[in-house]
Amino acid sequence: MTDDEIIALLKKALAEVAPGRTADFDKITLEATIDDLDLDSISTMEMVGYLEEQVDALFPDEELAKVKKLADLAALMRGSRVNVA
Amino acid sequence: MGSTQEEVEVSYDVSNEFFRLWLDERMNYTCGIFDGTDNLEEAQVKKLEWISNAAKVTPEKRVLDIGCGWGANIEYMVTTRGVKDATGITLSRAQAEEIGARKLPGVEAHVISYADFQPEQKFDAVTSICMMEHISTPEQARKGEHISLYRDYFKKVWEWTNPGAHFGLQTILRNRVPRNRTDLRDIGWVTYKIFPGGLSLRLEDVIMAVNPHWEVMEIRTRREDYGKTTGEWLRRLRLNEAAIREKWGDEVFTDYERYLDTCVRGFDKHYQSLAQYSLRRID
Ligand SMILES: C[S@@+](CC[C@H](N)C(=O)[O-])C[C@H]1O[C@@H](n2cnc3c(N)ncnc32)[C@H](O)[C@@H]1O
Repeated sequence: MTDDEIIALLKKALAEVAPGRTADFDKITLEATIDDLDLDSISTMEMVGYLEEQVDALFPDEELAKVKKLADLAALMRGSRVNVA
Repeated sequence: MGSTQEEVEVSYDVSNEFFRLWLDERMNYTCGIFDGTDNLEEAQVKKLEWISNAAKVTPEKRVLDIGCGWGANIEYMVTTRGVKDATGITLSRAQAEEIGARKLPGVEAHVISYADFQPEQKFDAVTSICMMEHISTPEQARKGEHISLYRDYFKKVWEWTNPGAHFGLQTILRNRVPRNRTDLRDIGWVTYKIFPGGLSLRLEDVIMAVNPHWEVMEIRTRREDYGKTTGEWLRRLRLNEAAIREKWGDEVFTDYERYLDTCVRGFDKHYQSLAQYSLRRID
């Protein structure tokens, strides 16, 4: 998956869990953090669920706990692990 | 640390008569083992048998049951396994009263936290069925304090026992965080409303915390059995709907229905599981 494909998918996921906020996510990049999205914890997990469905994979909870940036989520979507710096 | 006495009484002191309506006849408030049976009463006896075997309970041993509930396990050990000296501790006063009412020979039940318990005499065998869920609050776990709290518990049990002791343990496990709104909300609600201060464990928590005091001899998971147990509790609760609404009010019925329904779903979807352990004291 290219970065553009991942960003497109993230935007779809965000539209799903935070409808009405599309403008906020218009210019989003993989450098953005999960905190930048300003979602509550339930919506964040829903977004993860949507992404898991789309890429047909289950992300381990311990890997999710390490996710800070959208790039970390992209790593999981590509089937690799999150690198903690 | 963990659930306070007030919080424990939210969970267990609705009324003994209320729990009697939907638990098995001996009032086990934990997972049964449905090997070769669909009957809850039989499944509970099979569970008690597994735990006593794991703790190597024999008639001459002095036995401790930590978080003894309404006394189902102690009653089993005394009446079926021939134990003559059994002690139970619980934080619920209503549960201790029920145990007293069963008038079991050689049995003592104390309302005290494991954290304050200081037995005068050591024990040869220990059992604890789903009490560890009250040791760490979700907030303590988020701060990373849970493993030390669990380890401190295992250390205490080590100090209360004689060399050669075995420990039959059972804990609920949390396996996977749900990804959908309804399940996340329901599980959060059960955690804070029905079992305030409580948190189920992760299997790796137990593996880390038993060291350096206990050796894991056996582990068996029982996710489907807990699904069946909670399913049967829910069925019995609904059979008694009218009586429950009348005696304890609509909210008690709807809260317990939502809680048990959430449990059935939680085990089915792998959010939760259950583990039984046989531990041996490292002497
Ligand atoms: C889910 S119930 C299980 C009861 C029983 N073992 C059974 O199988 O039915 C949990 C038990 O742990 C007890 N408990 C909770 N916190 C405790 C503590 N700090 N010290 C001792 N017992 C505690 C409760 O009072 C309750 O009896």
